[in-house]
Amino acid sequence: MKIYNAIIIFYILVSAFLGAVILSFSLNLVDLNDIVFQLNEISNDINARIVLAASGVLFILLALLFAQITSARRQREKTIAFNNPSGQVTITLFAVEDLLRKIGQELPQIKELRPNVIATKKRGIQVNIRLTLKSEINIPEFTAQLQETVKNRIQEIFGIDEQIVVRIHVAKIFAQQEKIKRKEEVIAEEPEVKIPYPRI
Amino acid sequence: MSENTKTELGEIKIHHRVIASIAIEATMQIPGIIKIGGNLKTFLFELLGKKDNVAVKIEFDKDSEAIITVPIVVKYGYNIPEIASKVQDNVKLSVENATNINIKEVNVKIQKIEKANTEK
Repeated sequence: MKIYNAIIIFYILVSAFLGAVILSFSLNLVDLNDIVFQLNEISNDINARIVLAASGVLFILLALLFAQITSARRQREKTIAFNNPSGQVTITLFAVEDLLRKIGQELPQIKELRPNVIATKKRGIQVNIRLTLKSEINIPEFTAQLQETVKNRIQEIFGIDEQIVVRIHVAKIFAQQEKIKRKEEVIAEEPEVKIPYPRI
Repeated sequence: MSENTKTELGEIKIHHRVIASIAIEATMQIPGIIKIGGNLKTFLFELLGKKDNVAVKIEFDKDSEAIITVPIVVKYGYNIPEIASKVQDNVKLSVENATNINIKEVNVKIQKIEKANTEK
């Protein structure tokens, strides 16, 4: 990670320089006229402007490179890996979260499932699930069942032998009764239709 | 960016993109694979209209043996270790058969799991 360290050092130096300029300007150590004069010089000199433009492009490229390296690093930390004779297989934790979302879509009792998967060497895989349930069901029974399903499906699909801890947080119960009440209210508000009594 | 082989008549250069294309073809032959890529880099290249062979990474070690890294998006419901193993075997076989390059490792990255209706 030599490039990564070089970019970090470069940005530290640039930031320190900018900080020093701002500080000296605020403390009146640098005359405003001097800065204006220097900027005028640059604007009148075509070579200086080319150098400035090149520096700008370099800064942007370095920033993009830094972003890519950082993102790749983060990605590497968020994976589960195992080795096959032909090479390594890495599974991103996003893929595990995708699987959990699909499980949530299969179960009619769940309105919304928000997963968050954490993998550490010490604790193994920790699955945190935030649930919105559709109807009034037996929560302890259902969540216990879901914990088991999640654990089994992860082990079965990803072939993981590590310890899996599934934590479920029921955040909301989607009130169907409220819906029914609202419907009843709407019906009650509708005006009565008068049907003329037929004369015999 | 190319692997050289010398013959009596001259030199044969195989570009990394060619190896990547073979690896992609071999990967897509495995049932349960939706697409190659699925990471930020591929997404950015897709926006720029680049093909998916940028997603496959080809490296060579000191002994000129190739290390291929393939990021994939898998169809929901398939067994991941099984698919990954099939990808590794098929990529290794296809690249070795087509180019005579020795493959040291085929690394598979499972980036995402998607439902079958998103299949291209």
